[in-house]
Amino acid sequence: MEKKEKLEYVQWSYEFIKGAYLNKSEDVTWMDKLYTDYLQPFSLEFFGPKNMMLLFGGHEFCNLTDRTQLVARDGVIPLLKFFQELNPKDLDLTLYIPKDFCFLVPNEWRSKVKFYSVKSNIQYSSSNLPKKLFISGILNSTLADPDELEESLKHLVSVLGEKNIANMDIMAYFPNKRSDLWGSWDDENVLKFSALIFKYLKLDIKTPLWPKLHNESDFKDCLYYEINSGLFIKHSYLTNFTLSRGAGLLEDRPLEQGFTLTSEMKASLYHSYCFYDFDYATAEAFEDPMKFAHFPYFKRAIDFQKKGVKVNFQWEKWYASYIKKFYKIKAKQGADQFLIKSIAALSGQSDN
Amino acid sequence: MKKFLIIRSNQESSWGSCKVISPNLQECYNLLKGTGFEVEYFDIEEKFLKSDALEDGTTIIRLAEKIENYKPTEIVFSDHLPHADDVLKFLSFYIPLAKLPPLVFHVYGDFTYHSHSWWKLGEKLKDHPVKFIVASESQERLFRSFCYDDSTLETFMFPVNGKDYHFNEQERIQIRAENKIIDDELVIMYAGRISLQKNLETLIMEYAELVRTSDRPTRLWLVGGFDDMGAPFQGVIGHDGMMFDKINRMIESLPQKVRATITLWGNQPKTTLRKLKNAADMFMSFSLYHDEDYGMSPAEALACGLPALLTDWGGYSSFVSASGKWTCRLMPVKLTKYGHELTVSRIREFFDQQKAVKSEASTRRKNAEEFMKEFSIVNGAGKLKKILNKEFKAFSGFTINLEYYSKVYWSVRHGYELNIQLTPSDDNFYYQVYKHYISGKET
Repeated sequence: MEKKEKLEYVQWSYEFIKGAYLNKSEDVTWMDKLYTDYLQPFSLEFFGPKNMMLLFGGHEFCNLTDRTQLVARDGVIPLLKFFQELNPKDLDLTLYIPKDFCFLVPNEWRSKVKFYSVKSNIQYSSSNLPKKLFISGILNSTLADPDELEESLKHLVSVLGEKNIANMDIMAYFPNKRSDLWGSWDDENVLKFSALIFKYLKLDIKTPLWPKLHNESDFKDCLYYEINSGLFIKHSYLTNFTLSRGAGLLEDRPLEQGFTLTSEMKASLYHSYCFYDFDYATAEAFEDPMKFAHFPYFKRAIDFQKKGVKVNFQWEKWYASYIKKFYKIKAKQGADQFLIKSIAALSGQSDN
Repeated sequence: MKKFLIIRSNQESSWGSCKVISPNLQECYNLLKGTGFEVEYFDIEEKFLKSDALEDGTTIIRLAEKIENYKPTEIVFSDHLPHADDVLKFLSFYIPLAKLPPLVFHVYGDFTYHSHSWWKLGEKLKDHPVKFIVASESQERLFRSFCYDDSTLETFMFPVNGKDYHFNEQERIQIRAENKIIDDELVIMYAGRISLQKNLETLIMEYAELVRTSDRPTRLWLVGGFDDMGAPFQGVIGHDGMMFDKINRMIESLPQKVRATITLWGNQPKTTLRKLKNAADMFMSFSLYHDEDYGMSPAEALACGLPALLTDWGGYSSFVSASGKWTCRLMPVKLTKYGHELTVSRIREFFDQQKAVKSEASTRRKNAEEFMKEFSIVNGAGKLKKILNKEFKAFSGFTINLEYYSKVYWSVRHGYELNIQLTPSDDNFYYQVYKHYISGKET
């Protein structure tokens, strides 16, 4: 297969969702607040370079016409929606999105989209171990599943080592859903999540409540590890909060082919943002998008409905129906076959 | 024998200065034991109502039982939170407030912030024997302006722990060597939260001007965590990262020569902080913070024998030694219709004065010792004893001004709206309250 054709395959997701529209129910008008409430404290605002913000408020995108550059903290779903619903010709801005999501950018947006990543001054690894570990994330039936958590924990243990983890002070913070959206313990996988955390880390884990955690001012010698599949928010408030108080992240992966570092801007004494240009023609991910860490989450978002996830009340129904909508509309137009073929092609199983 | 029951928070305060003030204050109370005083503590959670929902029995019932059994002659509220009004409101379900012994309240800088709670408390305490203990002369003036009668008001300046903060020549030599500071180089230091109302912009810009024209190599050390609370009562809301960006941009905009002399140290543990204070040559803080009732960081700098230049704002003016036993000068502050006005020429004067004085270890040590004679925990215990031995007077209540103030504050606090009455100016309610933060002392 020619490389050019392969590049076209990257567009499958946009072909797939093309023409799909969200049914804006009356509920949606008051759901903006619920969206950010639901994702708190990860959705809280903070100050960052180049107008760092969440593009999506749960209903509509923020006003983009008064900015010439913007850094989006959003995850896969809002970015998909953004690229799908907004016309790049209408906006005169440079949009920076998380580097992990470069596979999301459709052709018509490519001249306007650049990339960024978060870098902590201290990066922990098997040869540079932290004394403390702070683990947090978005764990509930809608936003994560136990398999995802297990994968993340296995990765963490493989880097830090089981024995070393046993000697670390561990703090965990996994906020619940709003009480009116809360399903049963079984639905929410609470026991599974808890069991996995205790199994892979240790039993002696501190679990502070938000007011206490928010007053912590010193995260030095501490690794911040976030279980976040990046469905809704990729760069969270908690990442910024802990890094600006001295925490470190795991060592960066080597820079993927195609990226060129253009600038680095400090965001605190302890962390900074790296900004990149991306050459789509030379990027290896466009030969195999699976090489991108977040690509599976993207597929999962599209594939969400197949999991039979139980949803509760308005907000989640709205999101579930939003995702379902893509699926249903395109299913009528044979999108199922298109999806199956595309994924098979991308994972190298078939060239048909 | 007087029996004190001290109600204190069972957790460390979120405020940096209170993390130090609370244990030092308790040390003072502990030293009173056996000198005609019996002291017992009752620990209470800041959010005691919320935690009670998880436990058998309630904190307040346990407190009521403690009062019934211990029979204190006085009850002391030593911490700023949980607020005494919340505790007494629920305690009154079990013991009528009139049956409680005399009450002592240590009042902190957040008196204005919690003015709503203080107003409600004032209504409950009318005619009850009380003592309000504030931490500085300025705070006393501010507090008094809300009282009908100041006979219940006392001033007690928080002590400094000499074990943590003192002059140490070896540490000075070590830190200066590690940082490659040459002999005649001067280090200006600020320590404390890097927050909007701490007015670091003035310090940085004036420092840049100072360095430009100085014939002595000079450095500026800024030690402390970034705090993005902004100035919420004045309509300035901060976001995480705002202050770092502001200060970083300001430093980045300076010429490379100046920029290279500025160090941001971030949050440091107290041992490192003491070492840095010992290595520095002068301390400057130009805070105009709305709750600056005391100033623990300048106090700790003075305890290390550092000469200090401070704004004539809030508790800072109380650190001036009338007899010149240590060096603390004030930068005059005025409230004008445009806001705060600082006499920044005082920076140059102070810098030139200190430049001329060779920083001898003996002078530093002497200054530190003189300061600690006044501010040590032992001395503090003696002062506290005198205050506690004074006769209690019945409280005649807060004036209507406090109710008005609390209502305006409350609405701003919860609505984040700009209220013209609370912005710094010389012809509004802010002036009526905060004019008391300016001492007008000549130094």
